[in-house]
Amino acid sequence: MKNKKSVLSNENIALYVRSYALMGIFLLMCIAFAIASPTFLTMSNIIGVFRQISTNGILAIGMTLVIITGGIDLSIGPLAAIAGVVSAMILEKYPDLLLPALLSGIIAAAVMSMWTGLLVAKMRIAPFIASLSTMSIAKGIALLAADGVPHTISNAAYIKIGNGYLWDPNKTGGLSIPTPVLVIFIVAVVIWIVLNKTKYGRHIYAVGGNENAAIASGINAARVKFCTYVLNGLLCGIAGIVLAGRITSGQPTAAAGYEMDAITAVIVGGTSMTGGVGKIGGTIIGALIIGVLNNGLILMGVSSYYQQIIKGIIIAVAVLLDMKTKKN
Amino acid sequence: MKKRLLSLLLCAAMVMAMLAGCGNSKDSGNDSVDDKGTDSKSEDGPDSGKVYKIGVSTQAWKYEFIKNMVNALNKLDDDMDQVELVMVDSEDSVEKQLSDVDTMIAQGVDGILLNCLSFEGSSSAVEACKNAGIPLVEFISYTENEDYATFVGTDVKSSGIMAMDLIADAIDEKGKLFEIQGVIGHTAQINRGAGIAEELKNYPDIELVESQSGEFSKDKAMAVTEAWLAKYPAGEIDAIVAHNDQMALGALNACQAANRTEIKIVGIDGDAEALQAVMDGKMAATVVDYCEEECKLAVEEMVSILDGNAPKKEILADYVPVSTKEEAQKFMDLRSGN
Repeated sequence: MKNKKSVLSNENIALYVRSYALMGIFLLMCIAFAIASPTFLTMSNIIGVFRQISTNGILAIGMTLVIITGGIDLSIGPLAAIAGVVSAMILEKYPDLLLPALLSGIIAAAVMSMWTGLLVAKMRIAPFIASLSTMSIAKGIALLAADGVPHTISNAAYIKIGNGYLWDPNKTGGLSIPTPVLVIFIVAVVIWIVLNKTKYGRHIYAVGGNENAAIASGINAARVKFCTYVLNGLLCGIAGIVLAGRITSGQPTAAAGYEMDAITAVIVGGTSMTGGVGKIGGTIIGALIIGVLNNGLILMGVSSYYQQIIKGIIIAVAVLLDMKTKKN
Repeated sequence: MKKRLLSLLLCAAMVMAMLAGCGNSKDSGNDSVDDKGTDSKSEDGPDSGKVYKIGVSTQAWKYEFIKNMVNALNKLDDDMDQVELVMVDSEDSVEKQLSDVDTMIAQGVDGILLNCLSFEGSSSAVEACKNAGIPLVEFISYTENEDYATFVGTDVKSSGIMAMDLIADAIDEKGKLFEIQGVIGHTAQINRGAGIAEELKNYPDIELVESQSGEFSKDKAMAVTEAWLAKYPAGEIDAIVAHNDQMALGALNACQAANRTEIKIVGIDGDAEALQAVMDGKMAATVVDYCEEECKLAVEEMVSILDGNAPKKEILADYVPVSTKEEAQKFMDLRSGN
């Protein structure tokens, strides 16, 4: 018993308890929906839910990093849209250059996010305002580049990123893993490693927890913040590619308003808005809770009016329960 | 030093990104000029030598439909010698639209074409024009304050009626129908939904099983359709009608991914992607809002009023049902280069 305590700090224990509490909320929701709708637990529906949360999940993982540093990024929707538009337009002109097109899309999003990073880290503008600036610029650039209209993606491999499976589900009785789920899995694992096993990861927590203390201990806080926004931009780019593949077009207005879903997933997942605390696993469960909620309410045929009310209540309940378990 | 270099590089990157963006838009601009040859039946009136300067305030250009409209207006500006159009993007802000109208009045335009953003909110623009003694023609959407010279547009409800008729045609007037609604409370959702509901009564053998909102977004409509496809096995969904084309295309993606291509899908708007899907036989039909025609009627009406003729108060254009390859091709050609 004593041994365990020395390995796990109090805060770590609290975090573990919190993830279990979240898991509990998530499972309760699943059980409730399974009782309410026989379709809920069918293979095709479960696969559908995982597919639907992939874009928001990837965005939320990036948002988790930003929020742990004590920041926020409102520009993620337009950043994702830029990646989709750029890659779709390159493919329109050069149908064979799939990989360069995808990379250009992702890099375009990352380059745009440098603007936020610069404003926050170098000019010390509040992240909320800095990312509002990027959001507006990125929206404009996406519209300009696409000339305001969606660009259809006809490349089969690109579409597979959003709509495909790792193997044909018909051969295994409907059981398969959708490609976007593989993407989010890889992203989650890589970011988990970055956050938990690297010096940079520890610096993210340090800067978010107490910036002055971090600077005093020799951490280049500005650089950590700048890198985090750019890393978030890269993830937005990846999410944008997945989304574009799913909706088979690069749309300049795609992902509009997605920042709110991403922020919700992060907060429901137990990350503190004041920075310094947060886990990737929690964010994934947060994204799953939102995804299951959307799906379950549609399956039950609940009208849109009620859906919005129910979502608002469940978000509040999830966070409240989470806070309670944290205190205990 | 290193940091300064980095920030310089960043600025350079930003500028490059901006330039890349502008470059692209220029390209497509050229495209649309090229395409002018395909359909330039310019209806130039007798050259009286007088050029009317007409201010145009529109809904946000970021929407494909509004973009088509702006392109059509640009073309009219080029084709008609007696008008000069000054176009402003309201960027989805009613306040900006109102101040844009004030600015145009101050600039001394001869008349104003208003594609209003809000039924109630844009009404004060009508007052402003009236006080300035400038004729106001509203097009495509109209304001609560009816003190304008003329409204040129469509009856939005009739697009819902037409969509329902196209669905009925596609499934031989019997079967199970699903409806994907727009943003709940949005004017287009209310009116298109009302049209669909009204016309549905004429088809006793068509059953509306479920309605859900796809919020006018392709992605959201896809999620809604995927849930339905999981809930209702093959044979229990015959048709899906969506309040706009993007949602219809989202439903199409979901149906194709699930191998449920027997489901007939109808949308509204006439987006390029939807027209292509009709041409490829993937979508049953779409209802095209022929905005090019409406813009032409609006500009012509404004010229007629400025020439001293009495305003016609209301000019209604018809929606165009598109369910065949040939019809879709016609609009594709008209709008290519967008």
